[in-house]
Amino acid sequence: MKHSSKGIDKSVMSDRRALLRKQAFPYAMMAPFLILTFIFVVIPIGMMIYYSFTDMDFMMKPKFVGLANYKRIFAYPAIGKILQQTLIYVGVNVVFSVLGSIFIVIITTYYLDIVYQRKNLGLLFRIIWLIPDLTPTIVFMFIWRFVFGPSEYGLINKFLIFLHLEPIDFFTRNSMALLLLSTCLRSASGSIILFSSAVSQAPEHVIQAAKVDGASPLKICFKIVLPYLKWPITQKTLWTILGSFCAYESIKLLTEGGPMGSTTTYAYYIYENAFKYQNYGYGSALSVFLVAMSITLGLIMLRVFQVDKQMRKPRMDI
Amino acid sequence: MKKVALMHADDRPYGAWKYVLLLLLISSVVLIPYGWLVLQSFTNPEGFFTLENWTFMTQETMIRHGVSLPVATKPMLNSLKFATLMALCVVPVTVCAAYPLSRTDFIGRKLLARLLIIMDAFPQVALLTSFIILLSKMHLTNKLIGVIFLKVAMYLPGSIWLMKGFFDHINWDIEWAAIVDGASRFKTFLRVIVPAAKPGIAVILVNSFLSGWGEYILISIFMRGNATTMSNFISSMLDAEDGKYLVPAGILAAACIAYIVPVIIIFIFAQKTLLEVRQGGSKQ
Repeated sequence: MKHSSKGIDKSVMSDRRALLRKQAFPYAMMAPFLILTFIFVVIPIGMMIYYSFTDMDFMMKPKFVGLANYKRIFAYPAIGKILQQTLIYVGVNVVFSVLGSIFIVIITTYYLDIVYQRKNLGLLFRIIWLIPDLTPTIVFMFIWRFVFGPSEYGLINKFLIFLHLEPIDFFTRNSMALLLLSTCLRSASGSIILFSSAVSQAPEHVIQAAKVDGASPLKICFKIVLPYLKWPITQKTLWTILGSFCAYESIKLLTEGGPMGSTTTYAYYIYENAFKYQNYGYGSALSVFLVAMSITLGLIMLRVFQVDKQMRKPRMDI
Repeated sequence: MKKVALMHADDRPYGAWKYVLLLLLISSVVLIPYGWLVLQSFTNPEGFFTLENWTFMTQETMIRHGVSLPVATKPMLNSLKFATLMALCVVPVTVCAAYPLSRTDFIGRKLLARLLIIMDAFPQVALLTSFIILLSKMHLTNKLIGVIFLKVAMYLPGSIWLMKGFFDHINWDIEWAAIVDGASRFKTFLRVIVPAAKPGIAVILVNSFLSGWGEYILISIFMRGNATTMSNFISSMLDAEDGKYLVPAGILAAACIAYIVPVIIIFIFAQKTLLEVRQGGSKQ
């Protein structure tokens, strides 16, 4: 009796050990990622929440101030203007970049590649439209200074002077439009590959059959090709909303939030408080709201992308 | 026979020129600014061809009285170092973390996948204040390695999710066969799965390198000095107060082009990799 119970014990032990090993392997593999994430993401999130209740600044001597920072946000007179500009920035960016990108992809990948069989031309234009996405942000933003800047180097003002017209100071008069133009171009450029590969998944024989039946290229485009874009468009729209809410680098490089705060979005306002004014406590309180928004969007993405379905159980159980 | 072949070559429908014209018109929004930048870099203020703008590559450039930027090779090398280190950190960590997510079953697997998506959506700017405090407490301010850690940590969730997708598409059978032959899980991963996932790893490698090469904002926040990397070098040609150029416009244009050229070279060599679907998208 004793013997057998010991045997059971042993087998239970070895089962446990096997189970442990099965659990240990994945976590060992993920350890570098988990450690990095813990130090540079989880701890900063904790710090953000903690400092949002303090008056932390460059002196690095935080004092607990309760909800004062949050009250300060709602009391800040320009917050309405900032939110309004943020919504304009996000809205215009999403609509124009997604629509523009669809338009370019339909012409290059559908019309040139499929309808007219000019594959090289299609590829050439797709590569041209890939350039803004590949260019380092600082260079891409500086290019617009060379286009809209003062007449010593600005292309448009040089041209206006050539036509004997008054040069225009775009950066003080139309800074929001400039910012939108540049960011739209860049995010449109970022979705070309995704959309193009979706369009090229439309089966050629179906398109040919529709053509034989007498459908016009435009009708084929709407009925057969566009449905293939439904999924990438959802994906890109969500990412562009998120990306434009959190964009601050391009604003810093092109307009620095000005003039008179007319291109300051919520994310850029956080950056200003963190870096320029070193109001770390107030900046953290502002960040909490942005994080709440991003988590909401993240949860929507979980639903839309059906993450759980992509995480089916592995077939092998070793 | 030749005639038939010729006829066949012309079999494509006519009328593509309309679309090419339309595309040329739209693409001018991209082509003209870039063309203007190139033109600026090779002309002097009077509008004549010159190579003088490129002297920043071989000698110091004066930006203010008594203040000058170093020779551009130093920031170029620093950018290269930053991008290489970034890629070298991202690739192994990503590949190792993505494999168990794709191929093994463990407690918390689904939760981790969900957290990955939410972390990928996490705004970098929200953590900026904490980063400033954290790096100063860890005595990592003004060191490239600190910035690399931050950037890698923010970059990982997206790249792991992408890599997991590549692993999902690898055939189970080869892995199964290796394990039946008695190889351990890790050995199988190293000898069988990693070679099979090479195209996916290349995507991660090239993307993370380019992301490191183009980094500006984190470096500008955490690094002092005006020539840490190429992006810093270019931004110090601008007055931080009023945005006026401190150097002739031609030199700034030339520096911008010097910063793009390596990207173009990488693009030519890694065209196929870069044209792969980039799922998950990229944040701005």
